[in-house]
Amino acid sequence: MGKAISKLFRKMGKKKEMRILMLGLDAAGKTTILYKLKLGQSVTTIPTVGFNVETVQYKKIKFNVWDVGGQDKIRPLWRHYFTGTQGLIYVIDSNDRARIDEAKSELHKILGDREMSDALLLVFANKQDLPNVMTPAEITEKLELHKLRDRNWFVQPSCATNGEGLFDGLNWLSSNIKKKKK
Amino acid sequence: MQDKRDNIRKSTIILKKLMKKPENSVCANCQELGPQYVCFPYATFVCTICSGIHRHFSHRIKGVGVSTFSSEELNQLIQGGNGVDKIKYLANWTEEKFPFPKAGDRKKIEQFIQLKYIEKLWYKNFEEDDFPPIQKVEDVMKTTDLPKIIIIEKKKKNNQKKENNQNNQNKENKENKMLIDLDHEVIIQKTPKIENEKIEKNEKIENEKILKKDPFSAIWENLENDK
Repeated sequence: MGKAISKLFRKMGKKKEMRILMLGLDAAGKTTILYKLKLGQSVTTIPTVGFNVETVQYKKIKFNVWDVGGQDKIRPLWRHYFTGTQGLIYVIDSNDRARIDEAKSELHKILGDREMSDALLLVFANKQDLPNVMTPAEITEKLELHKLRDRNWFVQPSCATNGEGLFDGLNWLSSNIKKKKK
Repeated sequence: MQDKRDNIRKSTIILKKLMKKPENSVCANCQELGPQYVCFPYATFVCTICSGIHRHFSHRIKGVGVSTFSSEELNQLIQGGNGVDKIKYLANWTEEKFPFPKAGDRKKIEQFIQLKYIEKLWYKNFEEDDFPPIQKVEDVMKTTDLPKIIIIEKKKKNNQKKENNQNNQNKENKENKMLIDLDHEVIIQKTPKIENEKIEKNEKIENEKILKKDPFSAIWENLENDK
């Protein structure tokens, strides 16, 4: 009887954890998103060399968010962070039309990796506060997300500086990780 | 593939040379020493803190060590750099109007960049002819030599060839039955070889004959006995 009760308590007390990897081209806003989620304020970041990792609590789920630098010479290091990743957040600079093709090829490279075959894909169409930016639908098309098979994906418009859409994205991640477990 | 790699290597060498120029060795905004980032489209070398503030203004920032530079970007840096930037964007600027912000003083740097690039307060428009191209990228690429790694690789190959030659020469010498002191190295390389033992047996006997005068002969004999 005591054993059963302690088991129940342990189950209730156990917080769900989720390992999230945040990638994207340089200057897409990954670090800004991370610290907006963590601190709730917009910070001026410097180009990330290496990685930042923070835990973010949202709806009883502990998100371990890994933010890895996106400068082109250090992109080959991304794959070393793939193992155990449950969700991939791919950040797009919606204002950068010139490099959307580069973003597409990098994304498909990541998704082609065996370690990432089970990961959820959340795309942040970032910098939506700027004028004349690409819409989420446009980004979906340009990233060729419709071609993906066996992949749960979602495009979320966001703005890292004022925080719009960031928690909606986490919400999607949390609700979809549950579905998978059932 | 090899060409592409060579080009990347060459571009890093060119970039490092450019960074050694006195005007490029201090940050274009705060005069901090040893800037490690490049800001486009102004083609300036800036420090870490200034690079963050430039990103705030959605200027493109590239890290010297962590990015690859296209030939177009290299060209911009060769023609431009902090010197030309100062002539263009700080033409009507004097130290009294707005002193250089101190390194690390984010607020002042932000103000400075705002005035310098966004409001173009001290900007003077120059014609393209005012800045005649110094050197073309292609020429610079041609004249820069690759690092020594390749030379060492070549040397290794040459060494191997030399060794082969030496071996051949030794054989010839033995055929002529001329007594010439052999290099120790060559002997050392010969003795551990087990594959060619049968072929070299005859040679070994001859070697031993030669080695009798060698001060190391006792050691060689010991080695032979151990086998």
